[in-house]
Amino acid sequence: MRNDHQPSNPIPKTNHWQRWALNIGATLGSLCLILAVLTLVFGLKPLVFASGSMGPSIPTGSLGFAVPTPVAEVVPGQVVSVVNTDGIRLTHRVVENLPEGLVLKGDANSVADLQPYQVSSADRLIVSVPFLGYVLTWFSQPWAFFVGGLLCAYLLYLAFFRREPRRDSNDNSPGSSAALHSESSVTIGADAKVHTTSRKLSLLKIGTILTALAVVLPLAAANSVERTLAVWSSSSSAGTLIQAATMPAPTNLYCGAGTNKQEVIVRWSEPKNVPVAVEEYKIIVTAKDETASIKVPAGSTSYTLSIANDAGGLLGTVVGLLGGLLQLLLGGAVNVSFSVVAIYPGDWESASVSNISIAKISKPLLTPTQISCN
Amino acid sequence: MSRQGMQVKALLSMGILVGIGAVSTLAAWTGTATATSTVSAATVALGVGKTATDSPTYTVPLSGSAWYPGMSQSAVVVVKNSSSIAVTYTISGSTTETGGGKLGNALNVVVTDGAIAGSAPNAICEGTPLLSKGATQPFPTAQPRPSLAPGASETLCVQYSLPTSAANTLQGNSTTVKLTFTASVGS
Repeated sequence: MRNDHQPSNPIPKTNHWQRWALNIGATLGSLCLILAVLTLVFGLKPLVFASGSMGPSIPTGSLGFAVPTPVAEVVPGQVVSVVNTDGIRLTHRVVENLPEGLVLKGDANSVADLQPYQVSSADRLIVSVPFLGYVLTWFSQPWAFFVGGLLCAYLLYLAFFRREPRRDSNDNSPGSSAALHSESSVTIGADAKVHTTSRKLSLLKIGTILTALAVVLPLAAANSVERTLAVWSSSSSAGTLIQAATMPAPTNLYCGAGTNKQEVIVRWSEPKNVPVAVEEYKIIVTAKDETASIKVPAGSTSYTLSIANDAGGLLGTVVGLLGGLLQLLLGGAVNVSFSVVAIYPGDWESASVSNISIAKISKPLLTPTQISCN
Repeated sequence: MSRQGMQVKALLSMGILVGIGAVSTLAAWTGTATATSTVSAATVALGVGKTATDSPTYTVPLSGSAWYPGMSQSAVVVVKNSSSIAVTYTISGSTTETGGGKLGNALNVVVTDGAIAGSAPNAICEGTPLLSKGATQPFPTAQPRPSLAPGASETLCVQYSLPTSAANTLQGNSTTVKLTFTASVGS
């Protein structure tokens, strides 16, 4: 770069449009360079939102900037960008930070993303600007390369290589043209010398530009604006209420006299409105504080309680447990409790139907021990 | 403007190339921009019912509210893509126990791509199991299904059964078994 005191490198005349082009080019270029440097130094990631499930806060076509954040520092409510197992980048709000991964949900989605994202680092969105993503995408087309390249080339030409205004047919400012004429007449004698100097200068200029290119091109390659998806999802459901049955119990427990005074017959009715057939019944007999139970087949609806010596059965068992009839009756007459439970498939039991004093064992004077219905 | 200033500006303007280089990776997206813009404009929706429908919810009509061990009931559930675009979807399931019960936990639930065989209380689903919950097990993670074209539907068979090992204490319990079909687009 030469300063403007060099006679061979005079202040070039620029018109209004050229100055604008230079200023805009410099501004946009600086912005790009600053972002590129931020990207390289801080890992700042520009993201373009290609779909809209983060709407309305981040509509489709937004441009966002994200910085890498360790997963441990991610908290619910933040918007993070992750790359899923398919290599697709998506950006959603954190619902939970679980050991098995980040649970994310799009603001516009009714449901969270199906699987937690198992990532070690996520990119936390720090800012987003609507619409700017569309603009950037627009610039990703091939013509933008062409136009951008052309603009740079033109500005470089303007700043470095444009000949002095007297040879510049593009300079259409008559006042300055006249002023420069007088200046150029001074240098016209040294034309040959100027020629060699300007050749050296040209090499220097080309060197400067090449150096700049050497900086710019790797930067261009190192940076990339990434597209992120904010995935739409929707769900529907098919539900059903399943209610387990409450198994109905047998009913109508009653006691009837047996063939003699040594026995009574307890009867019950089969349960009504059964969802499935009864498999068997369980009978529980209790006297004082001893209990015995037995299962009888589904068809049965009666059971005989007998105190005959050889009768066996439930009552016999209970009496045996109590040390025999004499022992049993020491305190006077004893009530017998009787319960029936219906048993269904899977061993599901109904509630019991029971009577805690369905029958009474007693020893009236001058008669044998007997059992009778209460 | 000085020559030097111009030169600095011209050099800075080369930063534009960096910018354009950076956005050039978006060009791949431009190639699918039509699809993408459709996605962003589209609403994604699945309908679910006994037949192809746009309704987002469906109550599976199982007969009887008196489940007992060994009972098995099945129902057809049709999932329809009501979106304007093709979607892939996943099937997941959940149970919500009523009160402190554990009936949902005790149930077997199987979703297959086949048809119903038999009738309640012994109706089963034939075909390949797509999602399967065992007794005393939770539902597995969501299972993916292939893409459904707009308006297309898939017929599924859902079998609910209570094994004979179900505890006696489950009597009178109730549970809601929900199958959730989630479509996502853009991934």
